[in-house]
Amino acid sequence: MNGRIFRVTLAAQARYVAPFLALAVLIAVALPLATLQGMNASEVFQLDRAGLVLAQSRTLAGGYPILALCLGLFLAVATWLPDIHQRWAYVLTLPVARSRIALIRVVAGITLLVPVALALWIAGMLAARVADLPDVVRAYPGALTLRFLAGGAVAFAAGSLVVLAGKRLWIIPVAIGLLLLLQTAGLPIWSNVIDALFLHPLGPFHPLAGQWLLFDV
Amino acid sequence: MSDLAIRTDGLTWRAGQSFMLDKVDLRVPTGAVYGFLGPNGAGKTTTIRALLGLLGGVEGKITLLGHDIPGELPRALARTGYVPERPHLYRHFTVAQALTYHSAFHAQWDAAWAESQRARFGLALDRELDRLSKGEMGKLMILLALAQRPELLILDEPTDGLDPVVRRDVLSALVEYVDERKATVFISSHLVHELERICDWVGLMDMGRLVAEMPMGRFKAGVRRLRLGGVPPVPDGAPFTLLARENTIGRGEEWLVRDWADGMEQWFQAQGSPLREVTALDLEDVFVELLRWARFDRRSA
Amino acid sequence: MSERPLLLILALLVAARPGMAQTVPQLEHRLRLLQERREAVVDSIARRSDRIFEDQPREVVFAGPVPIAYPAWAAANARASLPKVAPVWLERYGAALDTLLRDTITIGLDPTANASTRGTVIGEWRLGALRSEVVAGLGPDVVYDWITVVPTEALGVWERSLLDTTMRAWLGRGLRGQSAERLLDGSVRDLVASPSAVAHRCLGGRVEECARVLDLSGPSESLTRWYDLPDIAAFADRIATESWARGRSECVNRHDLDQCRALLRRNHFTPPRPTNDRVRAGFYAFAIVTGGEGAFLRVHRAAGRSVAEQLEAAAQLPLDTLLVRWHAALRADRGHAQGDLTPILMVALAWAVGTTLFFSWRFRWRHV
Repeated sequence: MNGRIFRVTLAAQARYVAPFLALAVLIAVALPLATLQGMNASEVFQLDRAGLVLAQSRTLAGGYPILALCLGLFLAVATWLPDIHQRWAYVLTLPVARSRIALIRVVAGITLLVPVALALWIAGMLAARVADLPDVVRAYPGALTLRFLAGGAVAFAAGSLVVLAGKRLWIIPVAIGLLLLLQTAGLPIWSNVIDALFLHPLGPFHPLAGQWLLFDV
Repeated sequence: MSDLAIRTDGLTWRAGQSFMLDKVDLRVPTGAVYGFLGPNGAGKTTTIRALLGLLGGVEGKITLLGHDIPGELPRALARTGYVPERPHLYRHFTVAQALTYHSAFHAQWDAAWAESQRARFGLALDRELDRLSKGEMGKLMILLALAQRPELLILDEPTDGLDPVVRRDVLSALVEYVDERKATVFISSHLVHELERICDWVGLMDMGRLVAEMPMGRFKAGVRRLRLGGVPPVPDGAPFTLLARENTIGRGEEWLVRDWADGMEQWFQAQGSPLREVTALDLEDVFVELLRWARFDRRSA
Repeated sequence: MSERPLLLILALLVAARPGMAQTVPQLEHRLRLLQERREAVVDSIARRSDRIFEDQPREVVFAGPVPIAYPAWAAANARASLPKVAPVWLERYGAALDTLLRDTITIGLDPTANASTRGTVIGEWRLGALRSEVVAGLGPDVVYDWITVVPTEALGVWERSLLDTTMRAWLGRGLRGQSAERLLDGSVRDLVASPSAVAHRCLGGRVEECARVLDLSGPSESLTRWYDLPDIAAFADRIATESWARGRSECVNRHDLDQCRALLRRNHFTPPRPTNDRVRAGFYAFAIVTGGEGAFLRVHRAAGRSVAEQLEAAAQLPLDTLLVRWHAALRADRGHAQGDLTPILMVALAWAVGTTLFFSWRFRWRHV
C-alpha cells in the first residue's frame, strides 16, 4: 500500500507541475549545449579553445543553480499549495500517519527533480561528446547533475518550510532585519552568517554555492 | 466492538479567549444514524474537526470506534468516511484521478461499487473537479466516502446547498449503504426535517455546548409547551419530564415538557395550579424551543 | 593608547597557549624585532593608503601591534573603537597572531578601500578585521593557517614591498592574497586556458616545460620560450589578416620562425605571457609553504639574486625538485572542485530528513 500511495502522490504532483517540468527539462538540455556556442567558429584560435570552453562554462555556470533553485522552490509550492487551498482537510483526513505523508510528499517532490537532472546529465554527456574538448579540459556532467539534484533538494526543502511556516513567516524578514541592524551597528554578523550558510562545506545552502561547471580542468 | 462509535468526555476547545466547544460529552451508539443538530455557528463543524484530529489544543477525551484520538488517528480514519461541509478534494484532479488517489489510501476500497455508483450518479471520469457543479461534487464526495467501506460515516452538512433531486440521490445512497453495512452515521445539519426522516438519535448543539442528546423517538414524543397561571407547582413527582421553564412576567410560567400524555392536566389541578394552555410541537418546533430554552437557562445562570 | 602594554599582553596571551610557552628573553627579542619592523610597516601602510585615500589626509592608528591607516576624519573614531574590538580580534585570530611573535612578521590592516562614510570605515574594519581588507606579511610556516583564516588578500601589498624588484616584477599582480589552495586551483585553470602548447605540456607532466612557462628557465627570447612555432604561426595568422602581407605565407604555412618574428614585429605584436600572474604567485606560495620555517626570511635575504635562486632559497630545494612537487600538487588538486560532492549530498539529505521530521512534528500538521 505504501508503494501505491507513493505512486499516486507522485503522479498527482507530476501532473500538477507537468508544464513547468517540461520547461525545466528544455532549459536543462539547452544550458550544456549553449556552452558549445561559437566553439567551432573559424576565427577561434585552436589553442584558445580550452580557454574558451572554460570561459563559456564559467559564464553559464550560474544558470544551473538558478534552475535548481527555481525548480526546487516551484515544486515546493506546487506540493503544498492544493492543501493550503483546501485548508489541509483532505490530506489530514487520509488514514496515514502524518510523518508518512510528509515523507512521501518530500520524496515525491525530490523525485520530480530527477527527470530534469537526467535531462541535464544526458545533455551534458552529449555536449562533452560533440565538444571535441582539448585534452586538458574535462567534462563533469555527473558531478554537475549531482550538484543539481542536491541544490534542487535543498531549495525544495527550504521552500517547503517557508510555505508551511504560514503565519510564522514573519520570522524570516525579522531575522534578516536583525542581522542588518547588527551589521549597521558594526558587528560582523551579516557576512559571517552568509559565510556559514553558503560557503561552509556543511552550510545549509552550500549545495547552491560552489562551482557548477560542466567543463573544468 | 464498543457500544459507542463516538464518545467524547469533556471535549473543550478554545479559540482565543472564547470557548468554541465547552465540555461536550457525545455518546453516539454503534449502528445509529445520529443527527447532529444546531444553528449555524453552534459548533457542529468544529466538533467534527476535533473528532477527526484536525484541531490542535483540544482538551478532553475523544474515542472513535474504540480508538483514542489523536493517538490512534490513522487507524480510526481507516474505518471512517468523511464528507466535509465544503469540498476538500484537490480541484485540479479529474474524477478518475480523484477515485484513484483516494482508493490508494483505503485498503477496503470497493472499486466495483465505486464504478457502478459513479455511473449511477452520472459522473464523467474525465471531468475536472474544478468544473463539477455543486451537486456533482456532493455526489462524488459521498461516493468517495462510501466506497472506502467505512464503519463510521461523519457527514458535515452533506446536502447543504444541493437541489432536492441531488439531495434525494445522496441521501438514498447513504440509506442504502447503512442498510447494507449497518454502519454508524454521524450527520450534522441545520435542516431538521431532513434528519427527522433518517435519524434514530439526535444531538443538539448550541453555542459550543451539547444542549440535548436522546433517541429520536423520545425527542419527538410528547413534547409540549405548557402555559401555567398563578403560582407554579413544584415539578417533583410530575408524571412528565420538565425540560425547561421560563417565567413570563405577569403571565405565569411557560414549561417545556416531554412524555406528555392525555389526562396529565389533572396533576396540575391536584397541585392547585391552573394549566391555561397545552401546545403540541413538531420536530422543528421542538428544536427551536429547546434552543430558546437553553439560551434562556444560560442567560439566567 | 600606547601599543606597548597591548603588545606585552598579546605576547603573554600567546605564551600562555598550550605548547606555545616561550621564555621572557625570547619574547623580548621578538618584540624588539617587531618594533624594528614597525617603521617599515608604517611606511608601507602609508604608501598603500596613499593609493586608497588619494589626497585625503590620513593617520596610522595602532590596534596593538597592528597599524591601520585611516582617513584623518575617521581616525578619532577608530582610536575610540579599536580597544573594544581588539580583544574580539585577538580571540578570533589568535592562532594567526601566534606567528606574529614567532616569526616577527608584522601584520598590517587596511580598513577599506572604498569607504565613503564615517560609519562604514569603522564598521568595515570591525566586520572585516583580517578579511578582504587585510594586507599582511606572513611567516613562512603559517601561510596555510593564515590563509585559511583570511579568505582573500592575505598575501598583500606590503609583503611584496619586502621583496626585491626582480621578484616583484616576476610576480606581477598575482600575489593578491588568495589562499594557496585557490592559487593552485587557479594555476591549473590558467595553464589549461593558456594559448600556449608549452603550458599544456607542463600540465601534462613535462616539468621542464613548466620552467619555461613560469619564466624560470633562464634568459632567452620570450616569444620562443613561451610558445612553440605553430603557436607563433597562429598568432601571425590572427594578427596579419591580409593574405598578401609580406612573409605571411612563409610564417603561417611553412612555420618559418624568422619570417614570423619579422611579421609580428611589423605588426607591433608583443607576445602575451602564456599564463596569468596567478600561476607564478601560486608557485611562489608553494615554495614558501614547502620551505617552512624561515622561508620568507630566506627569500628576503636572497634579494638581488635571480627569481629561481630566491625560490630555491625559500624552499631549500633545487628548482627541478620544486617544480616536480608543484606539478604533483597541481595534479592532486585537479578536479577537486568538481570531485568531492559528499558534503553537498550530506547537506541535501539532512535537509530532506530534517524537513520531514519538522513537518511531522509541527505547524499545520497538528494545528489546522
